[in-house]
Amino acid sequence: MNKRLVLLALLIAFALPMRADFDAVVHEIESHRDLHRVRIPFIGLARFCVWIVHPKGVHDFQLATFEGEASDIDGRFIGNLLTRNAGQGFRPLVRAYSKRGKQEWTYIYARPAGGAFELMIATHDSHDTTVVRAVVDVERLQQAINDGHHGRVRVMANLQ
Amino acid sequence: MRQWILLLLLLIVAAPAGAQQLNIDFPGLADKAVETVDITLDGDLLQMAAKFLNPRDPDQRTAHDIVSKLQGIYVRSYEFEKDGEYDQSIVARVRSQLGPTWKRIVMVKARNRENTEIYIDTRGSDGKTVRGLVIISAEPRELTFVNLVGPVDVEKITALEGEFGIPRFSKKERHHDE
Repeated sequence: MNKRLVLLALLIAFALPMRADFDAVVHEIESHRDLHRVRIPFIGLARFCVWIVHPKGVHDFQLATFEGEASDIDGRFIGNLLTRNAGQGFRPLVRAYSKRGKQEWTYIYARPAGGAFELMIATHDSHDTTVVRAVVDVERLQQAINDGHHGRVRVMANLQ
Repeated sequence: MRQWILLLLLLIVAAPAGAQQLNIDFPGLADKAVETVDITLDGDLLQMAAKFLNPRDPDQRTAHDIVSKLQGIYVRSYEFEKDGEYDQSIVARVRSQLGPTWKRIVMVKARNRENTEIYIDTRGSDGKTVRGLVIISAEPRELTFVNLVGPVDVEKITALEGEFGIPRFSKKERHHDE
């Protein structure tokens, strides 16, 4: 019994800081007066499936989406948000900006995570803001970098 | 005191052998561009990426060989709405950072179209491996800088085209892409 409790405590101790990074990013966006979080049904189930199956080199993911028009959010805001909250070891990997039609930012921060890479991805345009935390293998990392050239749609489509 | 002198000497001797990271960040440029892409892959992340490229896989072997020796991959790409919207002197500012050990190995000039230059740092070169590489691609509406820092085998460099954010720069590959 004691062994199980110690194991559980250890699991929580290791698991919580990983979640805390993502939660801190999400919490700060949630606190923005013009943005509200859109809950995605069965996202927990999808995450569980990813843990088990590792589809296309993705080992874990968390996703949060927000709606609302926040004109004060720009690349600097997103960069600062990730630098402050993403967690220790995260470094900017891709910073992409487009103002074709509407303004759009895609920022990818990354850090080594055991035998894989942990990505914190934030995208923002005039209507939507999305944050994804994903643990991926090198092929997926490479794809995320290459997709950075093509903006958020491909990055998000390939990681989700 | 002697230790300090020794350290100073060591730094002087070591400095020219070190790989050179250029300043390819021009904040004002991003403000004018309609699209910008900024890729920085160095330190732990690059070492990790190299570890996970499988040297036994023929598709990944060459990339693994190159990336495992590199210290950094830096890509800055800007797209503009109109022709000539960026300050041409920026290209000269990048070129001016290249010391006498840098040699231009490729120059493609087309009037009113794309100009591509590739430079290599030949310090301590054995004729096969160079200390660093810079690609400058200047089109009327697009400007791209690529800086590879660290030893690069020039014969294998095409293996990195289209990978880790490095654009395709050989014509054959580009046509293939289109």
